[in-house]
Amino acid sequence: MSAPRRALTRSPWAGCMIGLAVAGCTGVVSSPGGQNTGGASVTGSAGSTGATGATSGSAGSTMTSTGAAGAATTCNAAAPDPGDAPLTRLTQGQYLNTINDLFGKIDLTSVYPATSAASQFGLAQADVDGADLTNYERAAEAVSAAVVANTSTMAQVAPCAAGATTAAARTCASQFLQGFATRIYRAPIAAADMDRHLALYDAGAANGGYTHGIQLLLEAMLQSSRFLYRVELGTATAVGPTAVKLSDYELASRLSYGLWNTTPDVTLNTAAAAGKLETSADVSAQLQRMLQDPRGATMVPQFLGSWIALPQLAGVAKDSATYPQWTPALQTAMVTQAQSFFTDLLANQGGTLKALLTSKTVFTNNATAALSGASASALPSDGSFQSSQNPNAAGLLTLPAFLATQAKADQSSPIYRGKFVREQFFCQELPSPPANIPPAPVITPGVSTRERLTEHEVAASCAACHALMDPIGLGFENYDGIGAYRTVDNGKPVDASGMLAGTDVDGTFTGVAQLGALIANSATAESCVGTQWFRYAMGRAEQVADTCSLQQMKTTFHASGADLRTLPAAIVQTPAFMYRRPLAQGSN
Amino acid sequence: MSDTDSRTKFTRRRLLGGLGAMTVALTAPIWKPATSFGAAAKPAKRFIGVFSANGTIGSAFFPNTTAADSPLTLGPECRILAPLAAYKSQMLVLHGVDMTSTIGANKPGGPHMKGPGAMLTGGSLLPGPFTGSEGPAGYADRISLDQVIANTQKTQFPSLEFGVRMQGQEPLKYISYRGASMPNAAVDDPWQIFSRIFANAGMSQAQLQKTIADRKSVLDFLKDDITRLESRFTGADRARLDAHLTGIQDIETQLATGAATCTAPTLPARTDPEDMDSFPMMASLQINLMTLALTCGMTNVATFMFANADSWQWYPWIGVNEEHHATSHADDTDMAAQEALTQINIWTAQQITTMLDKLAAVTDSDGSTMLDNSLLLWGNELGKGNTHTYQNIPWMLAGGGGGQFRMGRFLQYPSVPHNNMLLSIQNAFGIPGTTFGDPTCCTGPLSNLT
Repeated sequence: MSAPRRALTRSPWAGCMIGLAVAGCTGVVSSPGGQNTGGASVTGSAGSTGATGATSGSAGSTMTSTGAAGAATTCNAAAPDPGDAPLTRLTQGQYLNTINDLFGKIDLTSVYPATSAASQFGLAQADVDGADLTNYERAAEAVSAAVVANTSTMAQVAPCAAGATTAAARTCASQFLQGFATRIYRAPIAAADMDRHLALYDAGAANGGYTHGIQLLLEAMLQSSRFLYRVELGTATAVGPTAVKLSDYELASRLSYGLWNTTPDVTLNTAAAAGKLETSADVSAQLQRMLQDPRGATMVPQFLGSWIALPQLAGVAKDSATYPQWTPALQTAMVTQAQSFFTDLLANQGGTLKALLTSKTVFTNNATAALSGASASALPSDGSFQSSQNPNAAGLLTLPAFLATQAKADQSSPIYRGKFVREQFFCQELPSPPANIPPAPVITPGVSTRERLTEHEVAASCAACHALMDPIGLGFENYDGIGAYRTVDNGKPVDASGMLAGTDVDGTFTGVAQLGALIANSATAESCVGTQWFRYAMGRAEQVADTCSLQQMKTTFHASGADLRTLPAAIVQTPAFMYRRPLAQGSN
Repeated sequence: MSDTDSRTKFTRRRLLGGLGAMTVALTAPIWKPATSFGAAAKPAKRFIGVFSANGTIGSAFFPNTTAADSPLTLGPECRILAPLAAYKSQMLVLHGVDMTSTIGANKPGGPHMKGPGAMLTGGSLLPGPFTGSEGPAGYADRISLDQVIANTQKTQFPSLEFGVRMQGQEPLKYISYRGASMPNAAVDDPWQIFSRIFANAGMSQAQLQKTIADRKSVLDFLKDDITRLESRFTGADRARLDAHLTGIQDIETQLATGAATCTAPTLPARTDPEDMDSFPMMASLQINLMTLALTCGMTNVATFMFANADSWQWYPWIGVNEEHHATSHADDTDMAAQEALTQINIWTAQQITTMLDKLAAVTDSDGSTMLDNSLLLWGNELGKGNTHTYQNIPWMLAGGGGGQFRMGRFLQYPSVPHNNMLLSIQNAFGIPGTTFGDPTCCTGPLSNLT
């Protein structure tokens, strides 16, 4: 379902029974998405004693246009390859937004009591299971019953004169199927499909008149795979040998779910119906309109939040003995604090990647004041945030929400933080840790986090991997397990010196502000942010076939001075977004 | 399985005039067995897979003996299993049965991700994007034992998946898989489960008949609809739609066989199932619903997860005021942590005792108890938390399983793959086969069981 992600395998299939050897760190870091796009690769020496390992590979190259076999890819605008477009199901958020946009506010909490905080980087989607299908059935029944019970909604969705004859009512049903139903399916119903819809209407109408016929149709349509999945069949219009144009309706859906996370609005639908999504200029016009809409402005901040796992912060547990101040109220405030920063970054700070990583602007309220050593009483008592400049700050990298997530329950974690930087900013994927790892060092009074971690340098089985994470993460040591600033760790003065290796901006640094400045100068990091955006916006991992789309998008991003606000428009213009590969011939 | 009681009931219901019989409600008590209407019907065999997280404390779980095969005595050293002592003659405890299928340099997934995916599949995780627990990895690569058994059932629900406080990243939350990358989510909301298994509770017969007729029309439409769409696709997309179609067909089966044969219990007013402190209450509600669904013949297969793998649940009601996962990483010399982990496992054993109590209280059609005809497998994602070992998983089998295994023993093996155990259970359910899960990990049925 999801694209193959990496080719880390050193050897052919190791038989199960010989797999008992410790699966140690190979020291090899592959770029996620594996075999493709601008892969930085770091090769450490597996199991070598204490050495950081030789570093090699093409780290730092932005777009090498190098395919799996290392052959250069030529990007030919006349023969684009849009890559894979797996059939995806609406996420729960998209489903609820769609229902709301189509029918207005309908209470579905009995079916979906809580909105799940699934990652927006939904690179793999499980097939439906029995519980999902039951929920779809319940929700469809609830929505349909609510729609037909509400005369004003019915007047919008499926109007029909009161007291219409059976024949006239059937005509109304027919008009519904040719009219509003187009919005439900995000495509018109083909003539060949009308009969089976009308047959269902007839079955319902026989059991309760026009209203019941419409109710049954709605129940079925809202459980139809055409509604629940983002169906993209493409058109017969070829664009070179490996791409076809999407239909106008399909493109409208891509724009709408891509930029607004919901179903196309009436304007988009009208444009699709009129064939006004055919040209690049048409699409650009819609794009500008959609980005100016309040919903369009939320996409980049949502991307940034999702990137640092902001939706999951509420579920992060801390040890109450170590961090008694860790409360739901503080967690909520941290989320707002991060969102305030993102909003300000995009509105007032130029929205660049550099600002994201080096900004000195911090937002503080009375709940979060203590984290930065500010005085809570000097801040508004209503909990509102005030911005100020903090010389220690480094934008996203010093957000408490980020630092608390990338930490353990009772202490900081240079490992998590180093891993995050390497994987999320340099797109270098670390191998999984081995099974049967030795016990972690216990926290002893007077021993700093840095001192405990030196064990990784001694134990050969740990060194190869940890040399790739710990030296970066130790630069964050001025921040404890909930992101509070500190200068003393367990009785020892904090040493926040760190080192970046295996990147295009290698060097030593002290503290996160210097690290942020290093990353901000990295061409690899700029390219990696583009890759992350691709994954987020396309809902899938990049593949070799996406090389040209990525290159095009990253060129646009680079030309803007790495302005994050240009990302939505940049991806919309790529082959990956505009086209799809022709569907293989079905067996039927 | 054609002579199981649920099948017989279905026939009887049709004799009674189809839909009309669907509203027949048994009077209290709820725990009235799923009686068969045919006199000589053999009781169904039920399978329950129970998962708990973060490993165990071996010295408090396994009996202290070196014998390879000894009667299960549950002496004072077996503190964790002590609550189950009343059932020791119907239990097997297995030592040296390892989740080998998770281990290997090329098997994706962090130390807490692999266990749940392997526990009932005898496989490993596929490559994939999930990084929440030191990934990356995807979902499990094959079907799980509960689903192999579920595929042979004719019940209203092929299986039901229960959980308590299922949180965190994929794939920590799944032990049940219909196939590669096809997890069955463990539902951790008792009210949601209730509305699923007692969907028609409270309807009048006229309402019910109309609802059933409507759903039938809609399902027919959907089957046709998805078949048409499916024909346009190939490969993974087609498989995805096919999985959807299969699910629709299952719902149709539920509609045909679904019956309010039991009185719906009354649930307390809804509270947040994700609330840390309500863990015991949710566990209790879920155990009630699971045993009710089994008793009523709604399903013969269930899985039950006490939280997700890597669980960070706290257990303040038994004095454990710290996070389960973090505690499980403490050194062996940290006696406070060892005690906390032991207490968590004792509490889980008490919950399983409740499950067995409820099964033992039900008389099946031939006079045996439902426990005699059930096999409950309690496993764990790990053997031991602080080493992340997949060796010496604390396996416990309970119930008669229809008399297939010689129960009441503690068996020690010299590091055998757990695939062998899964194969033995499959065979005990009358499903032939000579290998289970990853065939390179299976060396045949587990010896000395039958």
